[in-house]
Amino acid sequence: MKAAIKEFAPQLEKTSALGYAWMILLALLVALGIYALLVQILEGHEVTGMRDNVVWGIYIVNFIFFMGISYAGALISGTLHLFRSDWRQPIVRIAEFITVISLLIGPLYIMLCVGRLDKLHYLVIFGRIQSPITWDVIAISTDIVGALLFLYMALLRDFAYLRDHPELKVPKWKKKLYRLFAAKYQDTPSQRKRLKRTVDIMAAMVIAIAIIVYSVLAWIFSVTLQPGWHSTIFGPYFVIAAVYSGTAVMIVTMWVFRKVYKLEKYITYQHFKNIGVVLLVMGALFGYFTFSEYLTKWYGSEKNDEQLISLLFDRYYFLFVLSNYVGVLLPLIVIGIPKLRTIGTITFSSVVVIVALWINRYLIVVPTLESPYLPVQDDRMAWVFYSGTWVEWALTIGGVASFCLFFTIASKFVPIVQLSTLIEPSQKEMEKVELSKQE
Amino acid sequence: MKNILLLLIGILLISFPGSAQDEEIEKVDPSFSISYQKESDGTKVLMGTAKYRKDRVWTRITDLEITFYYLLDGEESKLASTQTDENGLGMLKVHTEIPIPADEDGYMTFLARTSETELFESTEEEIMIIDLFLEMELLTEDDEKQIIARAYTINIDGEKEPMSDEDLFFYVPRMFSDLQVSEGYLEEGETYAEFPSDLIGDEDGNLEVIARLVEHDEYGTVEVRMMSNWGISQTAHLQEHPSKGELWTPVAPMWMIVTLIILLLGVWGHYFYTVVQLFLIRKEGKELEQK
Repeated sequence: MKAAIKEFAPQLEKTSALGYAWMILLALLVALGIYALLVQILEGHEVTGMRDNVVWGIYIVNFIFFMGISYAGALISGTLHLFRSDWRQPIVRIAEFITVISLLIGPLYIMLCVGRLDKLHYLVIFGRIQSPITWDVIAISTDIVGALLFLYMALLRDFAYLRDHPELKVPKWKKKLYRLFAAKYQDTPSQRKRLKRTVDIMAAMVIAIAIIVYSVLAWIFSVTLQPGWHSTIFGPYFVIAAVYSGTAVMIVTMWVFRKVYKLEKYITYQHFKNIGVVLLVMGALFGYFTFSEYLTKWYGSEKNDEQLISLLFDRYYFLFVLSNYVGVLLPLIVIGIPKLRTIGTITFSSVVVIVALWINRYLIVVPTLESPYLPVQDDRMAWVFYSGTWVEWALTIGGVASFCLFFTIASKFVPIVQLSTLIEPSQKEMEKVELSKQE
Repeated sequence: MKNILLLLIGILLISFPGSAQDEEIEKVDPSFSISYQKESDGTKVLMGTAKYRKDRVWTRITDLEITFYYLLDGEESKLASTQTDENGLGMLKVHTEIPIPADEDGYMTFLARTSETELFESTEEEIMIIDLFLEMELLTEDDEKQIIARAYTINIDGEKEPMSDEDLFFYVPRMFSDLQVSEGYLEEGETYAEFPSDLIGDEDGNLEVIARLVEHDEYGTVEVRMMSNWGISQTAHLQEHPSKGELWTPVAPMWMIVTLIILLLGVWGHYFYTVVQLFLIRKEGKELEQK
């Protein structure tokens, strides 16, 4: 146990000059986002590119994107935990952090779309169960509570180990927090049994909730009659897209922490290969759903669907190709062909997937709103077509920077690899012991 | 070689800003049009629209000053000035208290002139209009709703001259635009039109009826409006035809409430169980510490 803690102590005890510079840069970017937010609050939504026709833009894209990442984190951590796969141990905490951090940032973007934030509480006071927005509020708040609870339960034993390790040279306030969060856990057999049972339950819960939450998000779009949104497969399509983008974020995060904290011993090629296979499968499914979605629309030749598709293949041609062709084919080729499959290429294709999937959400939201059923009342270009303003981009950069900053701070508070699992016998070893006992 | 390169860069740096400053901005001649509309209370509305072509796309000119005049025997009399809005539209309402003199043929001549700016040349446009009077009467006979509309001009001797051989349209204002409900053909200054009996009005069944001559070369757009109780009461209609699909039904469908309760109870029940287990873990730890 001491050896394991010793290995991860530098991560918790010290921050290099480069580390401080990184955090200051992120803080500055967050400050830029806060400044943009102030401008928006003081001057109103006029400072954004959203208008009467295109009422949603980059904010809702970011909301869907972050929620998707969160869902993938929950699915990966929950599934790895329930299946007790040994290789999960060094990466499961990264997945748990992805879930919680993106879940805290994502919903903030939906609030940026609200013109009258001072009346936000009306959603609770006057919210009706019939409204998909109410479903979303209930689902997301339930998801946040569940994800925080799961993360905490999963961290509990590590807090106890960190509390009980006097050699760890961390500030007093950190020690106090470890003591507080450890909740007097002593690793007795009954405590361990209770903890295992609750973590198992929460692992199953977060998977189920994440599926519901992301489906509800998809239904907000698909219950409307808008061209491009009114689709029965939107729920599963969103879920697949979420896992796909979240898996890519997971791989990139693994690569970053492996490099920064020198975790080559723990996060190996095998981890990248295994998660890469998940990315490959999700990529194939995403491609299949996308093709199915657009093929049926194109074949149906409904007036508004045709208008939407012609917009996608004209004004948004480059983005459409990048999102739905490059974003699908590149991971399939890179991970599918063993010779091309390296840590570097898997990470690179993940970066492409992240960009492609963000664009995919943009192409789901914006072109549909640019193809309304009712004729546009005002034919000014800014009213017909949407383009994000500096305020929206600044808040987007601020959100991404917050994600990175929270992750960095979290990794300074608890080890990025689960200590408790590293110092315990693996599942296979346990099974061997069980078998030998039976013999 | 290095010196020559530096010299070239220096020349480029010095010459570029200078040439940009020397270049004069060429002013644009805007496309400008004027139109006329007479409202129900007799107010004359003059509208000037200014736009220009930028990158082969028509773009509206905002904040451009337009001055309106009326002309008589070639002499200009200023009415007022206004500025174009974000749609490139500058509007002036001439109320009935301000008489606009007509020439011997009955034409009122209006002139609109845009001011010269740093970007745009000054331009002007003229329009000649005969003052048309439109009247409307709403009659109900044997459950049939009938609109009678009369249109006439007043000649130099002050006599009424009925207008003929023109189409007149009837509308009811709806949420997005005016709904055309009927049309009539003016003969000897009069036309009749039937009004539909299935239109929904406000809570008491009131709705506004509009008779309108649309963009006529000599008379412009002329309209007259009247309130009537010819509509179906909105409240009565909703009671007779309750909508099933709308979100503003007072109570959510039972299946939705049941599904939500099951889901929430299931999930939050497990959360509660987890929190209870956490407290038990803490309690056991506390007991161990005390021992």
